[in-house]
Amino acid sequence: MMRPILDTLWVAVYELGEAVRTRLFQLVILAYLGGIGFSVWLFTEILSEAEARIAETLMVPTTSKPGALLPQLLQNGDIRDLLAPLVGGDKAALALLTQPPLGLWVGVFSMGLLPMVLVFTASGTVSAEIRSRSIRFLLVRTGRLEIAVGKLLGQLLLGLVATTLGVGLAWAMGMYMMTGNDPAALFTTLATRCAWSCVFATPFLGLAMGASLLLGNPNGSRVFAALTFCGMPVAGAILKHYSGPDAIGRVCDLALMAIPMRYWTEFWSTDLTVQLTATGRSLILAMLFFALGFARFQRRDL
Amino acid sequence: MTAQHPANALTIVGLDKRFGKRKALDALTFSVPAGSICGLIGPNGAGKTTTMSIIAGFLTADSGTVDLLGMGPYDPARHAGRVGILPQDAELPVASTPRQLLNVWGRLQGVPGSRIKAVVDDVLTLVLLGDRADARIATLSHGMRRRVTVASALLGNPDFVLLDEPTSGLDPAQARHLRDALASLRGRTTVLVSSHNLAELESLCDRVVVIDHGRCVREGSMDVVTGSDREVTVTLAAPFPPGRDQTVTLRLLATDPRTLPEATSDLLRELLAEGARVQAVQPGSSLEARVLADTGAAR
Repeated sequence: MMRPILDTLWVAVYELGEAVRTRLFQLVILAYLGGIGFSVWLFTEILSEAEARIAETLMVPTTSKPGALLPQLLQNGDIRDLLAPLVGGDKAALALLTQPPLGLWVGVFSMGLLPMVLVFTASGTVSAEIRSRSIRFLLVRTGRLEIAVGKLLGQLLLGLVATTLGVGLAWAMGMYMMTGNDPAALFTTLATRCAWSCVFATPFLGLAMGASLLLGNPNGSRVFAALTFCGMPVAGAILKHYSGPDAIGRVCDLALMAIPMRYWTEFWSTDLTVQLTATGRSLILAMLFFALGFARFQRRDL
Repeated sequence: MTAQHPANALTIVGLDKRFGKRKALDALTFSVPAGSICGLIGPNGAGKTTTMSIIAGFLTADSGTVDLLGMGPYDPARHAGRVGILPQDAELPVASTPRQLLNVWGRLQGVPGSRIKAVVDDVLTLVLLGDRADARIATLSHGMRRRVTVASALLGNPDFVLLDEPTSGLDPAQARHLRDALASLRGRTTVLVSSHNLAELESLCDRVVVIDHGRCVREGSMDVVTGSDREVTVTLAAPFPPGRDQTVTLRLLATDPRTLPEATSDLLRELLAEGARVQAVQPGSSLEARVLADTGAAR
């Protein structure tokens, strides 16, 4: 009973260790951290500009670091206007703004970047080993399910490593580049939002792993996953257009549930029930995508 | 016979495998006795690697049965840790070190954490890689990588080891060392080894399975296959008989293998008494000659 679980964990450790040592992964992590760093820099730039405007209106001197006039920007709705299109509207933005805006802003970027990172890293993980046949070294030691789930877990751990580093970077940059941030509150918001971004990213991870299990060619699985990833918003828009009370509309409504992007705004809700429902749906989608790939992997000659 | 100690470590019956229109295995049937070192021989495309891959569970047979260690076809739940394999063309993950890879693979095989370091050190020493255990695979030569894969096959003392071209890419000294290491497993571990180096197999194996076109064309102990149990070839240096300027080859065939040593002694005694100079005494034919005869030399 314990053996498959232990094997899965060992495969995950193997996957994590092997990935961390590869240059490709290091570049992808750097790209993610670069994106997070850029988001902090962009926020401070926007904030500086808005604060300079307010300082001019109030005829007060500007500060060397942005953040001193944040309460005024919150009061006049500038920050709300900035966040509203990203989190599902004014109401959602207003409800969220009891938390440090920088944490929310970085959370938006993390939700956008992490799925891309995971699709990129995970979509070749099994297919590359099928191609090089190095998967045979594992196959003779453990089952295919343990290998597939272990690799999925390994990639999830990679995502967690990336987001943890991202939280640390954003917090350090925020504390250094801004003034008036409550360290604990900023850290809590960053950690919470990045954790939700991990949950939001799970269907994309399932999609990438599914592609990697489905195809024995790493280039093919990467292209397949990337095209599906890019095609999903388009498909979502088309399905939304045709959704409605008639039969076709209902089918479209049902199909829309398989588009992970549609749960974006639900993760920004302040209602925990809504967030948990989105979590459940995202996890089911992740498992579905993964299972479709695994069904082929289980039967294929390796 | 029990599941733990079957007379045959491997029994294959009627194995068929197709790749598209090409039939790779055609009702392949053979067995490997427990504790033996068995050579799997055949020309390119005969089906050796396919056979090994099916035994290890990498490929699924279209029909036929495989009984590995008396526990049915390969199943990781039953066989993990008891079967070691050296795949012919599998590439090692290059970012890790041999020790890192073997540590994880050993743990997957069920080697306890308290023993893993000793087990890994032992197997790395066996393949003469102790000094490169912590170097990245990417920095190792082809021969060294080959030795890492051999180490992975022998890791944790499995009951059954499948080796596909184990000495390919090794220099003569390393190849000899590996042959000695494999020979030391005789009686404890069943080894099925595939190689095109027939002289190597002849010196290492006590049993041979020859396959061609996916079928077993000869199977038996090395003595029987090479005929060394009932045939001796004696080569005499010229000039003998007097006046003949070419070497003479005599073949002594015994209908009963038990009489061969005595008959050989008698023949040699008579020849020496006649003044002949014996150049060579070869029991049976070479494995190469037998295999070429079985599979067609023109291929």
